[in-house]
Amino acid sequence: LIDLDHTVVARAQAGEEDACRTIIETLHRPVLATIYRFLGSRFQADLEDIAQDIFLKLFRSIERFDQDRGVKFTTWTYTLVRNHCFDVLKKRRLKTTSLTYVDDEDKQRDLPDESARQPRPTLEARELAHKIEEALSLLGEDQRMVFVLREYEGLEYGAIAQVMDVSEGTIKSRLHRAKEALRSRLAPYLRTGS
Amino acid sequence: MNDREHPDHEDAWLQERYPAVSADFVERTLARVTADRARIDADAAKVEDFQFDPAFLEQLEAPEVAADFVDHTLDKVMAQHQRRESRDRDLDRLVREYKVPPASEDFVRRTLRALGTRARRPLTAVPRRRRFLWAAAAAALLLAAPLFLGPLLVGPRPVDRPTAVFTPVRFGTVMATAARLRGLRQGDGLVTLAYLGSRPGGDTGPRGGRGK
Repeated sequence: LIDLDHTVVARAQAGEEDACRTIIETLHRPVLATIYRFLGSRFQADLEDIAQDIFLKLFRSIERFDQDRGVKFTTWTYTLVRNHCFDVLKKRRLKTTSLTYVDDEDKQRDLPDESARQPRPTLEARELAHKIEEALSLLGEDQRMVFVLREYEGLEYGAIAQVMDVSEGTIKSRLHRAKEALRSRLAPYLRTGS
Repeated sequence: MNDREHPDHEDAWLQERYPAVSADFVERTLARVTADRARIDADAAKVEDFQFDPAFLEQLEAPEVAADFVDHTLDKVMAQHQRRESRDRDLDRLVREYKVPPASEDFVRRTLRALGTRARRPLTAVPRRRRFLWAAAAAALLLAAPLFLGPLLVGPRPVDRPTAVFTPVRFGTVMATAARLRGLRQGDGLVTLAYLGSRPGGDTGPRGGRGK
């Protein structure tokens, strides 16, 4: 993800609507995708509300973002995403081991609009997505967030370390363990899928 | 650790001050920390050993976003911005224009009462020096009143000096009789005595024009 231009951020800090729109347009897809892959389809109905809450927080505290501190604006945004997602899980008192996986039938029943909006994937693709989501949901919160930020969002280790507020070595260690766990759980599908 | 209290024999001092731990506690803890660090480093070194196929991971697609998501979110953000500006403006105006109202006397009284004490004097009271002068004047008037008004109040006295009462009758009987005649209640002995003292010879009869 290309970082936003400094002038756009500065204009948004001054409250200019155009700059705010640019930030939302640039970041809303990665933010929504990260939320969805981290929280899982169980939160799909609330996905856009959660993303809006994050953007409201972002613009509420954007004046505190200091461009001179060497942190990218996107990295700072992912920090808000991570904190908010962890808060959402805490509030709903969901255990890490069982938070995201729901049956496809439940998904269809609860979210007819979302399902109708997307092109219907093949049965094999749906099953694979289902298995990946299930395997992700079995990871710990920290490992899952690190995996999503690295493998789906393509953040650098240093940026993930800033988001997670730990050392780069710890990020690599968590990512390795997450990969090992997923590789083990998805082994049958990896042979056919990769 | 407080250096001033640190004794010369550190080991003895530590053993006395802190609970006892096993002799190899430090070594064991250090070993665990080192092993943990080594495990993290070893895991970190292997992070690139296995790579997921991006196409495989992309099977978990993020849902499509509603077409009006950006507009809707922007509306909320700008509304929040305006609310904050309005709130800041109101706060500024409040701070600038607000004047602390003077405390009313009633408020002070109620507050002091609530605190379990009382005001020594009201805020609007007359100064102490003036109050003292007024009190002194009033006391002087009270003391001087009998001197000037006495003859008018009690009428002319036949004798100028107090008359001693000598009577063969018991003093208590005299008092009771006089009180009965004058319609005084029992226990008003001082008044009765004063009455007797005003009559020459200790006459206990009512005086004309006075009494009931």
